[in-house]
Amino acid sequence: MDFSFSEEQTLLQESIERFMRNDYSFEARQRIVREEPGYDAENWRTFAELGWLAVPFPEGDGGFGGAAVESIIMCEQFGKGLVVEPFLATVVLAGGAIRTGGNKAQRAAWLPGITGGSIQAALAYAEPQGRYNLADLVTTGKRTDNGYVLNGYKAVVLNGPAADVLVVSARTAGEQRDADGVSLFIVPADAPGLSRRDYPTVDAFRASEVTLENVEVGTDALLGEEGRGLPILQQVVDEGTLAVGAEAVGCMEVLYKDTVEYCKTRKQFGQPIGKFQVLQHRMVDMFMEHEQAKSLMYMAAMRMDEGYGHEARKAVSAFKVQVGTSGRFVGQNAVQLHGGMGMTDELRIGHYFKRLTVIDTLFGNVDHHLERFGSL
Amino acid sequence: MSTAEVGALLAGLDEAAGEIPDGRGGVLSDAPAFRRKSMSLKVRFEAVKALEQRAPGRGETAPGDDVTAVILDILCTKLRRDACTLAVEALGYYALPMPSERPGDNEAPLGGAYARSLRQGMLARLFESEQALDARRDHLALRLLKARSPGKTGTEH
Repeated sequence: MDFSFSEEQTLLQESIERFMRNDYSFEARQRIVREEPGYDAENWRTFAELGWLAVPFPEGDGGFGGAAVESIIMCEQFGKGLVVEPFLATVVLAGGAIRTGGNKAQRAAWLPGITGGSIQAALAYAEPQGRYNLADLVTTGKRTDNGYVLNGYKAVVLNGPAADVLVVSARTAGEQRDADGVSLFIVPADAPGLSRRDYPTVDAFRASEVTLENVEVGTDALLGEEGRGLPILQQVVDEGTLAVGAEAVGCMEVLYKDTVEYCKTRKQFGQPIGKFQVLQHRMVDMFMEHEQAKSLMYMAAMRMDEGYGHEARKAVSAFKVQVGTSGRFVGQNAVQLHGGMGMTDELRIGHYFKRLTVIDTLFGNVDHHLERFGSL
Repeated sequence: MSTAEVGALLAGLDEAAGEIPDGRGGVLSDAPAFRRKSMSLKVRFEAVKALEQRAPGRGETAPGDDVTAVILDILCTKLRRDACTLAVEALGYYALPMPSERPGDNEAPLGGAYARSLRQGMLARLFESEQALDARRDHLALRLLKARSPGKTGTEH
């Protein structure tokens, strides 16, 4: 299996890496998250100008025809920079849903705004009772003469506060957990009856609880076929899983490298603590955890690019399990080896660990994906 | 220790777990707690295989450029050790007997054919020393501490 990058992919990686190094310092990132909307609009425009927001979309939709490998290249670099700009929510999740399930008119209506950076979007798929089951929906979409009426509640909608448009999952038929009967709707954020409760998340991102009370949408808001939205949602969430997993791989790299550097300079008993074998072995274990996660990241991306099916889903789950276990190990040990400094706000270590902790719970934790890996 | 050997050990464990009774009328491979442990090993094995496939593209051709090989060696050894531990769990009471079971013996194997297979394939390796792992970690530590400063990530992949 060939894991080497093409020339275009290497250029993409270097371009993001350069931006992170020159324009996205940790201090700058901390300034951004302290203020609303929790991301930098100027940075977002730059992402659009550099074409990054268009990478995962087909050329016919104004994109660059990138796929899973391009997604992990970008998100790994975003992870290294601890980027808070809503690439995942807008481009990978909501944009991915419209790209995958949308008809020509829907793609033409929304994707240019997303790729151009003028539209913020969110995917409202989770519900309080559903845990990681995408089909467990209490939110309903009732057919009317003019379209649909949506009622329900969506939990922890990433980028909800800034979103101009939401892709909402709702049940249009069947029982609460049936695979059939799930539909996806494109809903403008200012639609009458839609209300939000916004909040910051533990890793300094932004999210909302979204209530839908008799929200009326036309038939043109339906993504894909009525009642057949679950496969679209599943694919998009798996793409999101791959993307956040790649972010985690980037976070882990920063953590183990920062830790090695710290242990080379911090002295105890008259010598750098990196000279102690017990600490050296911990750093080696951190390095190996990162290597395993990174290897599975490439494997999962290649499986996804071969076609979204059984093997791809299994590889994504294996990757997410590894990300969860490796992320916890690397994060905990980075904090431990930095001593008390590890959890201070001034040092970036704790912030990366928080992001890794959040990533573990996003789209299914270790237990969930281990179970799915076994069932596939 | 190669990935092929580890793969064979895990396959043997899988096969045995499909036959060993779980005490509730089913077999061990369907018991949630055992299944979870078995799946964890399999995910780790997937990571090792992916790492092995990544190795040729990393250009580790110069003498001493053996980081991936050392990591693989450590991971495979740990996987084998953990597979052996799980084999003991799987066998339950039949992990205890240590008869001299030689090819050609006519006596029925204690605990059934799967038990003999697991004992021969794994238990002998369970008590392998951690010392060897530490020596390999020392080797990697030397390489890590000599590495360049963070922030300069280059284009490695």
